Amino acid sequence: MYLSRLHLRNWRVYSEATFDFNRPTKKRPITLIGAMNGHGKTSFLMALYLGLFGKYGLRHCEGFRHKANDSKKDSALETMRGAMTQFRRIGASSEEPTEVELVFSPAWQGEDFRELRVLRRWYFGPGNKPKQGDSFETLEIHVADDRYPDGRPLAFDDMEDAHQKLERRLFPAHLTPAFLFDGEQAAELIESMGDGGLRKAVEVMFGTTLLQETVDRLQAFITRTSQKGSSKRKATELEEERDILERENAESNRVRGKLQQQREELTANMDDRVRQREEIKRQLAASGGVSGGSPEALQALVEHAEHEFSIKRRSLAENLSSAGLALAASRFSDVILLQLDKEHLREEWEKVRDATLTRKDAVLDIAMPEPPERDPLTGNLSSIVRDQLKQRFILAIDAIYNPPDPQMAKNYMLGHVKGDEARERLREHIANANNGLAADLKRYAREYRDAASALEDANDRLSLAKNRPSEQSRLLAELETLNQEVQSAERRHGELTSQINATKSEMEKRNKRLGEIREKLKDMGPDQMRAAIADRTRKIFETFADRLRETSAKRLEDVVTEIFTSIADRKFRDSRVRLEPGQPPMLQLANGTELHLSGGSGFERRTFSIAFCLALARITGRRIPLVIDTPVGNAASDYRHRTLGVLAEFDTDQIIILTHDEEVRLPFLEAIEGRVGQKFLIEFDHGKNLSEVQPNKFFTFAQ
Amino acid sequence: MNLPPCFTDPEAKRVLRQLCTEQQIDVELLQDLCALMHENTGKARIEDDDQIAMTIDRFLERGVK
Repeated sequence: MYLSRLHLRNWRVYSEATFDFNRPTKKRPITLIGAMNGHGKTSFLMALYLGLFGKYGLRHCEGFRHKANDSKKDSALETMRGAMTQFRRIGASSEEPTEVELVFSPAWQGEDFRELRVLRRWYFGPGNKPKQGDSFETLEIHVADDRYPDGRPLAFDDMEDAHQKLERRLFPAHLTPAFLFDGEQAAELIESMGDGGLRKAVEVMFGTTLLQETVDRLQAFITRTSQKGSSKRKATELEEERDILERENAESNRVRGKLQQQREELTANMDDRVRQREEIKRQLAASGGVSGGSPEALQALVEHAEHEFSIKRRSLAENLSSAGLALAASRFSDVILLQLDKEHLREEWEKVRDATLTRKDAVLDIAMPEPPERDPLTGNLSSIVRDQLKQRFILAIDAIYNPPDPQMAKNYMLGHVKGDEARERLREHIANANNGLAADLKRYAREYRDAASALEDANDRLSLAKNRPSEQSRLLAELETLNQEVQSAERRHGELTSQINATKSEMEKRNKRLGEIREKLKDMGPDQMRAAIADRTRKIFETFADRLRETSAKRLEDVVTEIFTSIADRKFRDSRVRLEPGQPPMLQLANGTELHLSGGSGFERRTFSIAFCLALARITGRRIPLVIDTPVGNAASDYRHRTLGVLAEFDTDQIIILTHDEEVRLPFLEAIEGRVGQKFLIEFDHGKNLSEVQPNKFFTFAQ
Repeated sequence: MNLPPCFTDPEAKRVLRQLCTEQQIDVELLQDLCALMHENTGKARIEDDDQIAMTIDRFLERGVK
């Protein structure tokens, strides 16, 4: 954008004055306005301050700063009234207001900026006394093409609303001295930096304040939306839980990847160690010692082998002894088995005999009842015959079990084995003993041979170790180290695998929960969904605004330093401008010394202020017209050249330089001539006591 | 509306992209909301809930999770 018109009415030395500025070109963005001291340069600048921002601009006007900073509204208005009596043209008719009109237009076709017209008037009554109440001052903001339904141009005439609109479209009132710069008041700009006001204003320009306003609006939106649906809180909680889970999953994934990488590296390392170990074993084998250790360790091995051998030898001997009994028993097993059969027959016979003898008297009593007189069959027999008959019965009964089976055992040789069951067990034992004997003996013999072999091997190794050359000792030591490394790596491998699996398990649990949350969120109504998204967006804006405060401050420091060092004296070339919060600007020299810029020379202060103005324009990207009053003053010629050179090359749409005839003399003018697109000369008519604007004129200098 | 420098400064853009990724929001939604706030500056009352809702709906239509 560029300032296309400034119209002044009853303003200081101007009765009616109009500056119609041409649209600047890329090649020629500079406008020069020349005026002798006291002829209207500062009036021009003050018209911009007060025309744009009224009482907010007054605080930057020399002589009014402290008065205007009074926080009481009535007092501020009174101060403004008092100020306007000084800014009003002496001799103006009380019927006519004092008026400042500014028009800002797009600097090029297609620029995203619509023409803006600002019209501010101050009204006075009899005796040119400022009017009281709201009728004293009016402000109208007109934006091109904004119209009421009836076709009238739309005007923002509420003072506060219009003021905000203006700040948004141009720049905050705090920044007025940075865009509309009075070189003679550089010190004031520096002090403002210390107050923090400019720093805050930079945040506004950078967009940080807009972000914060958006946060507030979104919060209000969320609150109102939540009143529509009671489950908004739930939606937000779910969103938050989901975000936490997703963040945790991302972190777990990162950790898992790292662990896997460690494990892969470890595996490769372990494989390498194992290969080395195999190689050393091969070398050892080739040198006669397949494996080994120190002679002391091998001695212990020999002793152990001897002990084992002793045990096995004793075990074999004992078992051979036991086996001898078993062997002997096995030779008589047939006899025993036959004896068992015979004893079985005897046992059966004894059963028959015992049963017969038990029943013998009862049988005789039946055959020959007593007394004989009662028996009709044998009662008539003589006692001799009856005794003979009785003996015959007795013989007959004895014949039941006599004679015994000749195969029957004569007596019980295996007296402890009686009954069919006991005899059957004995038969099985005899069969098992016969079968297992050979296997047991073989096993004991094998163990004995192994123990003997181990002992022989241990003895051999001990013998080798005692005569082992130093190279083998080295190989053994290396082997031992590798063994330890491999074992340690295997342990670590196991630990890593456990950790990876644990991480995987945690992620699976979280993913399950995430799935549930996403399903629930899907089912929620549109208001809840919007509120949840608004909440996430609010968080971004909030965090972003915090981060930007740091970023914008650093960027500002960088660019101010760059411009300052390109203009300032050579001794400051490697210095750095520091803009710490709550502190006045500092200059840090290359040797670390810090200087307060407010205590610097007039040139240094002016240089800093110009650097600040240009830096602000650059980092905020706002192509706002720069108006600079007496940029170089009466500085040394090389300083003037550098300052004007920087201004001439600065990339912006419009730079208006207000200068007096001593400041930009011919050699300096020639240096920037190629960038100047328009000139004005303000001339004071002593007769009329008024200044008049002469377009396309400037001072003439003698060659 | 010209985007404020916080949307165009390279370092700020990097920060913004990172935050958007974390919250699964696209930069376009942020820019649209800022433009909305910018347009409504100076209004005595906030009557822009419907506009915010529409802006969010456009985001949802874009299919960004």
